[in-house]
Amino acid sequence: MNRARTYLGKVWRGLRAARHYFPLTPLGVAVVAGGAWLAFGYGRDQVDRVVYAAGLVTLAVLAVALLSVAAGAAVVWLAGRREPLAGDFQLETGGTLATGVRLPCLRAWPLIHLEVQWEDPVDVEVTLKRQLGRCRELVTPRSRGEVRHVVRRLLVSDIFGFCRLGPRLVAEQYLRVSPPAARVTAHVLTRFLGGDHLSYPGGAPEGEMIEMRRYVHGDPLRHVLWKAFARTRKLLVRTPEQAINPRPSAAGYMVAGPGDEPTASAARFFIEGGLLGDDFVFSADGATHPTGDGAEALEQIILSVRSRPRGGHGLAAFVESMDDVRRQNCVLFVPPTPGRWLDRVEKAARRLPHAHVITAIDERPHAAGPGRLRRLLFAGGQDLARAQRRLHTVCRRLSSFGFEVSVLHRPSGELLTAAQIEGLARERVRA
Amino acid sequence: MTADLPRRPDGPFVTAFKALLYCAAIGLYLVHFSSPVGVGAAMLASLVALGLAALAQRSGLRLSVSVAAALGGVALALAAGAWLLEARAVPEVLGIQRSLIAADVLIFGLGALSVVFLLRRLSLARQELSLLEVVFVAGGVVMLLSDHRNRMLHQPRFFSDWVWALGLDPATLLAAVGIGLTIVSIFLFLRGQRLLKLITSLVLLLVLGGVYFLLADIRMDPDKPQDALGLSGKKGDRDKKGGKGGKGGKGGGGGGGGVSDNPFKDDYSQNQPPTPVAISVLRDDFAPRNDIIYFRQAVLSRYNGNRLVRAEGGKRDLDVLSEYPRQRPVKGESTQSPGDHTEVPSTMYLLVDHPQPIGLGHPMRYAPVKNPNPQQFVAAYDAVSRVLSVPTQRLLGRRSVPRTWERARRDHYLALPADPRYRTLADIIVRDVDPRFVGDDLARAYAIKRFLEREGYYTLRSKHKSDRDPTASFLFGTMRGYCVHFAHAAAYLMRSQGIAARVALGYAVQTRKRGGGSAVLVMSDRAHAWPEIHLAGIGWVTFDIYPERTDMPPPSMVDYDLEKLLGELARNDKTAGLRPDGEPIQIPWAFIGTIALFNIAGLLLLAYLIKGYRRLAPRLRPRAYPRLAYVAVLDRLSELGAARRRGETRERHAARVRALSPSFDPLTRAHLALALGGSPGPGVDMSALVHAVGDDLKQNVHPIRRALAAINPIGWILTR
Repeated sequence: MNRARTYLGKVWRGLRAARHYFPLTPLGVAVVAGGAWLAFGYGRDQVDRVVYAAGLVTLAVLAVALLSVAAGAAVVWLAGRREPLAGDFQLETGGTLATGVRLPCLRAWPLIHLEVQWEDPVDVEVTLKRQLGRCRELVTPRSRGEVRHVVRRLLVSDIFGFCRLGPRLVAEQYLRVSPPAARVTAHVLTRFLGGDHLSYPGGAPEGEMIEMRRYVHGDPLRHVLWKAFARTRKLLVRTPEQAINPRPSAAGYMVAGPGDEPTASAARFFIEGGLLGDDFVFSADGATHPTGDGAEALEQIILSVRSRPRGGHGLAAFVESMDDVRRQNCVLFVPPTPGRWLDRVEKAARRLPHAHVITAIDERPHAAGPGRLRRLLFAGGQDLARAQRRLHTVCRRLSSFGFEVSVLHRPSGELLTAAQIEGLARERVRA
Repeated sequence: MTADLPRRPDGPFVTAFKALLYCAAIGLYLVHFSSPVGVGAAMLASLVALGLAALAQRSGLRLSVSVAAALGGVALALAAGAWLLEARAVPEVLGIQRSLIAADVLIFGLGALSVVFLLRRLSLARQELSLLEVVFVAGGVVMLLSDHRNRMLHQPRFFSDWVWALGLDPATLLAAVGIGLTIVSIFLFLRGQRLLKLITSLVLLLVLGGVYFLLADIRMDPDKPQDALGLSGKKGDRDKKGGKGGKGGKGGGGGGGGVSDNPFKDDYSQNQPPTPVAISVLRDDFAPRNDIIYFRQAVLSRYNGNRLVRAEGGKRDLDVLSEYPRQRPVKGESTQSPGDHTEVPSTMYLLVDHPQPIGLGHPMRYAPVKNPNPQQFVAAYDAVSRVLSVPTQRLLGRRSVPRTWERARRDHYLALPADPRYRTLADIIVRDVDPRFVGDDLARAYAIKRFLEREGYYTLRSKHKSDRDPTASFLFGTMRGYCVHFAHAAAYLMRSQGIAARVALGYAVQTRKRGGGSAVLVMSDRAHAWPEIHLAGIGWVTFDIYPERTDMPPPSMVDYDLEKLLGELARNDKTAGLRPDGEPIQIPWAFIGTIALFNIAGLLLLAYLIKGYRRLAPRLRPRAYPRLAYVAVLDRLSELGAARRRGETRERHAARVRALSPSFDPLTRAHLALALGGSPGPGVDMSALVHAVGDDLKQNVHPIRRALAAINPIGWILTR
């Protein structure tokens, strides 16, 4: 069964690649069939001179478009081969990079339209910017990763969408895309850092309510020190006594999975921001061994993108390799979308009793979701609601394992409150 | 997988172009159905629908909701319109005329709104669905001109009359309309492209359309026979023997051969509308005795064991002309007695290919003539025919088979199936012949004819083809069949009585169903088969069977206008009789061209004058030198395609063209400083900067590009 599936997968991939060398698009095939029928079927049968001429000219236009596309594809491909396609590029997800590739724009060529797509790495948005008669390639990666070969598809099509050819261009170019460090607001940082001392981020509140800090969004109102507010006009809240031991020996693990880009950013922030302490141990899916080095940890985060289908598979080994102290003080970075990784995390949960789980999202969940009627009439609102429900599933399951779950909204740098997380499952979430 | 690049939205030109197409299509669809107010409302509604569709696409309105809304709109339009027409209160309030207009506005306005919204929305959702848009827009034109189908050269009248009066061939203009329509409609597939790309593409497609127009065969020779008996069509396509000579030009085509298809058919249908296949111009007075003019093409006389087929070998039926006259006249064996026949000269003009020439009555001689209109006629030739001039009853008393015929010839024309029922039935039929004429061949033939006419039932819904002897299946079965069955049955029965008979194939035109001119239009639905019998001393006599019972409607009238038009074309009247003097309306193309040329030249001159003035202005007005010099530099950049874009600041523009001219940046800064009331800065010389820009351009721009920029007359228009 698996072999058959593998074989079918190969055939499918082969067919998908081959379509770039079949010059007609589905629309082109329909137009050829329609033109032939008009000219040699209906037009001739009915002796309709308008339809007959229209059918023949349609076929002629298609033939010219085909020739133009073939010629254009040859020109662009040859020009692409002549380009010095080399270089090392390092950038962050969402950043834009000029790769130095300059192709003929075919601007004055009638009927021709040029696009460039990257097949490896995927999730890269390519734009062509015209400059002095040639098109400069600008790329914006949407996902982290590292490749040593860039595979481009030079898509030359006609402006009507009848014909398309996509010669392939493979270049020895090194590209490393790292996730940008998440932006976290000061009061969220305060929550993670606690009081004057550096507490471990996953530290549970302990002891008497004797500590005091500034009020942050989401704190219970009953902990607000109203007397202090009356005196100073500053909102302060009582907090439980935190362990003042900074617990420097924190451990972190990045579970790869679908939609984990914001989480990767959060993980990077935790490492580079020192929230895991100085003597941290970090690992990510796909890594062979844990590391205590920030740069290497970032490398592991970047490379974990390859392990998305097998998210969490290295967690058990990582937990096994840790001592008990670190196990008590572990931070897991997980994707906001459920998957098989949840089962693997569940298995490891028994050995991580006090782990703090952090996930991150880009969509604003506490925005007022679309109403039922709007969702019925308009597309798009459903996706957000579905993503929120998925996130809620993740949070609920992780909480059931005994973890403390924090959800970071990456664009604003805010943490979602417990009420917001609970409200994710509802159809309409309001702030 | 890879990210799909976002398509640019349609620019203003493309949007306006598409809106224009939709309006035109709506107008064409409704011009025959609605009042002008209704058409206007529909066109306006289509514009609104285009905006709504774009809005729906932008806002993410679900496609299913859009489709449902559009269908609901159509239903609402129909229901509301019907209510408006039915309800009594409305006409009482508005009056009848206003009620009708209101109904028009409601039905066609709301209908157009819904339909255009649906089509545009589908097209915006998926490019493939633009096909529907194209079909809709092109369909308006196709429908408007659809009356010309099936070679109705005089239709549609509004188009045809005008074109013929100009001395042009409507076929040519219809083809041009088809080409133009395709090129225009195909742009509905466009998704946001730059104007330059659109212009170059349009030019290419127009050139392509022009090449097609000049090279393609716009006469549209049919692949399939136009008639049900297979009399027309290209010979090579059917029996692959020989080939037809040159079309048009001088004389007719050539090539021998004949009809080889089996005329017995089960699917004999006339669903296809009739098309004109030939026009015959009579050169002498001629009035057929039985109101039917026969045009014979071929005869079937050899019995091949199954049915009658064309005689091969060149020994029989030598009176039948099977070759077109190419360079010289062709003559047949003279079998028709001159004393009992009248010679009728005519000229045949074939509108579609025929494997053998057709001619009136018994054609004796074909001679080539100049084809007056090769675009319409595939062949033209003079025919001299003999038609019987004495009443049939005066032919009584003659033998059918002359004593002079040798045995082989007699056997050839008397061969029939071995089935004894033919002889038996024929014996029974001739038993009733008037005793005075017992033994007379013509009287016996007449008895057989009458029997078939009385007992037979003419229908196209027959199923005899699959039988080994279709004629026996017809004759000894239900006696339901069409002309081929009747002709074969008559021929066999007559042959069984020793009467030489054969089956002729061609066209039979009823003179009562046509106009009275000298041109006789032959339509494809007039294809016919009839028996001929031989009478010694007379020749072959047409002996057609007219069944008394039939399920066929009476034949339609011949289109007199078409007959007249083709007759005039055959007489070499370029205006097809639509101009009394036969001379086409003269359009002063030379004058129009000259005026257009002068206008273009004047505009060019004006553009160059403005360009020159703007270039020289800094020297002519030294006081305003900094501003005017900067404008002149901008003009030069515009001519090179580096104009400042809409919304672009001067600084960004300068930065963008830095590769082209590094000196333009300081020049811009100096200009801005001066424009804002400051000074360009210490040591900055505007004149030097302007010259530096010129030097930059000389250095960085290819000479050819600079030359093109120099002759560009309208670069200054783009200067901002």
